[in-house]
Amino acid sequence: MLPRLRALTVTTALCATSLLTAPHAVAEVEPGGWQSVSPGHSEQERGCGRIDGLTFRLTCSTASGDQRAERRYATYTGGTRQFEGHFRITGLSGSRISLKQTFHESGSGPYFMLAVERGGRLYAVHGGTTLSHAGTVGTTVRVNTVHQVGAEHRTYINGSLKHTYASPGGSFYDKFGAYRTNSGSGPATVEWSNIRFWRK
Amino acid sequence: MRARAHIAVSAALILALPACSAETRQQPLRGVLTTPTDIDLDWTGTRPGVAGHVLEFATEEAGPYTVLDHLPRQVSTYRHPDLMPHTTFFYRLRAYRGPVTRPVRADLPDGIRFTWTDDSADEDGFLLEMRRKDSGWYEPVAVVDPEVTGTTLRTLPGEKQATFRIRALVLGEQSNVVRLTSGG
Repeated sequence: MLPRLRALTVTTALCATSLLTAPHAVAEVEPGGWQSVSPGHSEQERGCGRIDGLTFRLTCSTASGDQRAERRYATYTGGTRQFEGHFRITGLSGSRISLKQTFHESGSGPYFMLAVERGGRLYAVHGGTTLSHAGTVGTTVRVNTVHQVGAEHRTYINGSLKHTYASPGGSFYDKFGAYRTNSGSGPATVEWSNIRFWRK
Repeated sequence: MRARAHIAVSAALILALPACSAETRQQPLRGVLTTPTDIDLDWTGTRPGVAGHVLEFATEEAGPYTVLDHLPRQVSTYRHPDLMPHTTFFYRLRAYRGPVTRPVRADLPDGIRFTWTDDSADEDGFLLEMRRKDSGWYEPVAVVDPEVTGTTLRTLPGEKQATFRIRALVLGEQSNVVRLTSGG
């Protein structure tokens, strides 16, 4: 059994000059044909939610009402979309905070929600499936979601497939940040980085 | 259902990029695409004083690299499972060292608070290591930033009976980089 690491903040550096000077590889995550895109976004602060760049905070422990700090990206209606981002929880006195959502705008709302419990369990809010235990304070976690509208939504944690969900058609959008789930509460601080999107 | 059939291990599937230095060549990291979506890694050459390794991955050569795990010196294999298909993965390993001390411990209802003195001038962080009652070695369970002298571990069942220590984490030499492309 490999050890679990609850929190890690180590930074490392490339030492191979040949790597530093090598041509930058084309990102290709899952089968090729991806086109990099830069959808527009708006910021949403509700209740005790606060946004500072890519740092998202819930400053209160209120267990009711609308407590959120999120980025909401542009709506898409078809094709296949990919999201990639890294998050690091730097403070979590509360629990059950949603980190990333794929929102079904023309349907029932938050169709897929990735959330974290205090202690580091990452789970899908709808169904409660455990995706990973990598979400502990201080740990940088990579998230990829691949959404084939009308077919399937897949979630990868640190490169490994952890969740597959059937997808209806309609219009959707991506959101990330820190959002109190129905059974959750802050405070929480989440730092996101390296956000990228593709389509095909 | 994705194909899970095992395929023959072939030397052609193993590609290690040039090492950084003569020192890193003594600590080769190797990888094999064991199934179309599982990569098995192993490494050798642990030298005296090395306490463990940090294993990282990326899908672009220049990164960003994400830490998969901190692994004690007794561990020299890792499986990266259920990978994104038709995707190129890059792996690298970093040795770590550092002296250990016993932290001050305060039990909480749902965890343990640890505090310690920072006697190190050049640490890359502090590693909280845990040895379970039935285990012969310590394994890393948390890393905190340099200059920090306290952390709280939210314990799981049985962990309050474990023994803990703090290591002033010093990162050392980096391995070669392994590049492999998953199937699907």
